Amino acid sequence: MMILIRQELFKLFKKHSTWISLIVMMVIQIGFAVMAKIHPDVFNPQETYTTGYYATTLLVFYLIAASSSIITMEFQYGTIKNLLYREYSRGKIIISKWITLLVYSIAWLVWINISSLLIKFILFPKVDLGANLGHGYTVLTSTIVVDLANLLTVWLILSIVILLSNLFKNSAAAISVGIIGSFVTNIMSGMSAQLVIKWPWLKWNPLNMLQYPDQILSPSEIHLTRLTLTQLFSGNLVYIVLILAAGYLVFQHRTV
Amino acid sequence: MKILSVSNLNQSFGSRHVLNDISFDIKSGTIVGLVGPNGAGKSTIMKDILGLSDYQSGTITVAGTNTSFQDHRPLKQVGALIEYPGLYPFLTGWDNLKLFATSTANVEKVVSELHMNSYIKKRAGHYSLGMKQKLGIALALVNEPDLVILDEPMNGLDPQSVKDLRDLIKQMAGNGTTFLISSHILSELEKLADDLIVIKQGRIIQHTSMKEMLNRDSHFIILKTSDDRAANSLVVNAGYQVTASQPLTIIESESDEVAKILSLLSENNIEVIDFQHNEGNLEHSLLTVLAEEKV
Repeated sequence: MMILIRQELFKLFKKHSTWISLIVMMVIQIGFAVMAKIHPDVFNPQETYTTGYYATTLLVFYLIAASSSIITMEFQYGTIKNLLYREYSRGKIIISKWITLLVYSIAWLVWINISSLLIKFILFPKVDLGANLGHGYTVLTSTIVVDLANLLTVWLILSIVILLSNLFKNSAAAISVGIIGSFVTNIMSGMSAQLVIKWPWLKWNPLNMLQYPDQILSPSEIHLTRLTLTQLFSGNLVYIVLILAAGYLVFQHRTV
Repeated sequence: MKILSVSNLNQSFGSRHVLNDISFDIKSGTIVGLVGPNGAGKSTIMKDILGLSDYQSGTITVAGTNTSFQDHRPLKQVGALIEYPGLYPFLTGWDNLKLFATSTANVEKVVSELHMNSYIKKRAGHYSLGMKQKLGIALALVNEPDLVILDEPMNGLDPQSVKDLRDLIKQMAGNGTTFLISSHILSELEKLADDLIVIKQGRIIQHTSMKEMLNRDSHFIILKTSDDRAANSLVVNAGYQVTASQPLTIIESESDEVAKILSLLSENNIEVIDFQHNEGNLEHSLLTVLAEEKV
């Protein structure tokens, strides 16, 4: 399994798009930081810090693109044959891809937090990371907790993207479906809150689970979601496991 | 010792039966050609052996251990190139090999053997068809496998590369590596293969040695004489089988037939201007076998 994960990371590391996306991310972070410096009334320096200078929004698209292409790429280039005919089972191959994506997600999150801290210390020395935001969170702790909660909900979307990407043999098509799907999911997630009010049993639908990061900082959202933070956390985990398991089963039976 | 054993393999795609009771064994260190018309089931057999597609019934054993669609462990010592080379275009040739190689020394060795040094550090996306084919073959050979399965390996290769590959396959077979090769370039297969498996409409119709296959083919004597019409009458009257009169083409059924025919013509004052001896070839033998066998 370690060999497979190393192979997957090697491919990601060697892709030009990985390094281009890092440069784009840095340009956007620095761009928004400079805007916040020039127009602090429009771009609040403290709020922009908590979003990683808007890097976390971009990260969702990066992760969708990576998840969509990690399987479809193999079919597009015909390299799936090289992977499958070796001694490794299909199960090990897909699990190694999940683990690689998880490592990739965490690496991005660490990078965004470190770069945001550097930008803050250079451009916004007056922003107080220890300032109290209520509900027991400071600026720094809320950023970290919300980032981790976002990672969980993003993985709910990624698990769907991975499942759908099993249906495609072309990376571009899979990425397009993934990104459009994430927009649709966000829109429907808003609608979900209204439906839950009308039919409370709908509170267990996966779209409602996406409200988890918002509810951490705004506990009053429980009136919309009708679920506690623990229920939202567990619900996300259960859906991720179920959807990944469905993707696992589909991949188990894919022929070349 | 048998390295590969396929037994009663059956496969269907929907209602279409593509493999019917395919059974064969391959001994270690042999080069076996898998031949047959397009759509006969050659690639499907190879994919089944490699666990790339699933089959309805049958067993496949590699080095004495069963392998299947879900359990690939016996394929550790197998290398393959199926249909077209699977390459990551954003990686260099070297990195494509390094990704699957068990050691850097193995990469260096195969790159040198296939004469790929001049371009191996360039990205595979920029390679020509022949370069990609060579890299695909190198990927199959890089870990010095015991069994190598090659589907149309000569595709897109220039004459020098074909010769290099032929020499390498022969050298590896001499060291104990077994090859199962499908190819439509029969002249190349004739130079390489020890044994042949002929497949038609999902059934094996011949499993024989190359020598036996070539012996099936008729040998011809082709003559140009000072008087072809008279020569034709003479040999026909003498009981020889003539398949064409222009040029005069006689089936050679015994090894001393040439001397007898030349002597006959000489005795009748017919001068032989040109003489050709046409040996049997795989193409002719195979086409004969395929035409004879009704599936």
